[in-house]
Amino acid sequence: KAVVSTQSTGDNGLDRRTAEQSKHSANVSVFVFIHKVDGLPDDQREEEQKRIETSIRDELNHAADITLNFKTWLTSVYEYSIFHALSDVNEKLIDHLLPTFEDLLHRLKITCCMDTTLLMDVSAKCYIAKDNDFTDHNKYEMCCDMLDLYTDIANIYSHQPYDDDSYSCVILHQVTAPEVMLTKYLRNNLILVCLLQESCLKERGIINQNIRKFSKGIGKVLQVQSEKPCS
Amino acid sequence: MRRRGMPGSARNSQQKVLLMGRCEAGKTSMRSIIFANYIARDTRRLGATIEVEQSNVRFLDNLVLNIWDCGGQDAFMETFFTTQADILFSHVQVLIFVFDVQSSDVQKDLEVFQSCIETGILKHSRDAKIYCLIHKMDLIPKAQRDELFQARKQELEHLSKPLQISCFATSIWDETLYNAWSTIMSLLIPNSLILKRNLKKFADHIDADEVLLFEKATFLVVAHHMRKQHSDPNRFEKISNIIKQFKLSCNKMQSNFTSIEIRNSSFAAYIELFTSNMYIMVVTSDPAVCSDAVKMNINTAKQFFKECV
Repeated sequence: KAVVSTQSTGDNGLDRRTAEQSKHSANVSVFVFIHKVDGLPDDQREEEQKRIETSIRDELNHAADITLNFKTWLTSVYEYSIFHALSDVNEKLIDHLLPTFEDLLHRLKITCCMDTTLLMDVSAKCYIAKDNDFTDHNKYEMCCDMLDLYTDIANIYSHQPYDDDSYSCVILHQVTAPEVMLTKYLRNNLILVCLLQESCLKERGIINQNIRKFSKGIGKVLQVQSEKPCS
Repeated sequence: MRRRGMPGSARNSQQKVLLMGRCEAGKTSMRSIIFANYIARDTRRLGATIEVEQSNVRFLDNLVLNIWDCGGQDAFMETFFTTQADILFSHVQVLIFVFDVQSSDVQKDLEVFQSCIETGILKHSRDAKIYCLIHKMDLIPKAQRDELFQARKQELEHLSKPLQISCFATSIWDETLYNAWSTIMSLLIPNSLILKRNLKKFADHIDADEVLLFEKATFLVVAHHMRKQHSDPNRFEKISNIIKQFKLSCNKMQSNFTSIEIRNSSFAAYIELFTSNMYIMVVTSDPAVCSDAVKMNINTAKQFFKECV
């Protein structure tokens, strides 16, 4: 369903095998990660990205029997870019489930007056789904850092960091109103991350109740999914 | 103008800490990591310090650390020891001397250290506590570290007679750096015995497994009380680093945390802003201890502890 091809900066485009494999399946999305981009200064990155895209398109044009849609990402393990890129790939992998997840997230957000809701993978730290209005990637990066904080501290004080009761809450003071980051572990490496105003914490009971319902909803979706015959 | 205060009075003591060492011993990156919020990965960007850098860093309410990052290049060091010794070495409470364990000229390192002690400390601040950091230990294979450290320690103890010194093996790449600075700093807190006694009482009252106090800017552990054994003796330094990294991440978004609660079925940890310059961390593993009760108790204790430090 998705092919990820990693290129180092300086490489020359897609290798032929990847293109051939992708040709055989109509629904495959191709992602090209232009990796180790931390070695390039900021002002050269866009240029490098364009160069590689052009190089790939040229190669595809020459091989007349292959038409391919692809997307490039500039990535590095020393930045958050790799998580953004993997999140994009993930969304494609679950595109049949995505509308359901997004709908559930959105409902939770509205009923609890939250600013943002995300479904993330705890090990990969990429988001699986986000609510419909989510645009602030800086906030997402802080969520990644919060997961790191949780995992590192939980590893010190327990044997298994994530279990059914895993929960964290960080209250932040900033230039605007104080904000709260809540996380609740659901199941199957999935974690719910919510950003809300501190004033909303008064309704803690309702929030907890709605999160429980949300968790059940996700559970049902995954159960239905696992009972489907493999395609 | 520096205040020429005498040590002793808890409220108004201005304690001076000298951070010294030869060229590229690692002082500048060490200081930046502990005090100026650089994480280890960024210190390659720092150039060689080329002149005396005096940073007045505030640490806890009534401690002002005066860190002299003396450049370390030999020409400067010699000037200090001749013309500036009285300015540099008077009213020093703590001398921290950094040695690069892989120094190409160990003999010269020892000479400079000895000069510091003889012309500086012995003449102007005889009561100063002296700490030697044998730094960049990550560059030595693990099997050889202890032996090398002990050998250096003995040489330094010999050179600094009749004064007493303490030595630490450190590296910016693990928790040893924090360990050393944390130990040094906790010895600088006035009323530290009272603080520790009250921390114990607080931990006992709320049935906590352990309670830690961190200095706000550096997240160095300033005091702790443990009621339940833990398998990892280096966890305080790990926690310091973890929280500080998160703090840096928040700072990038122009925000800072005031409260963190982390739990699962085995434990709960609460990190709260406690006084104007300290954070507290409470860890419980008893599921009967209610989260809201802990937070309420922390709030109640805040006022009491404010008057302790």
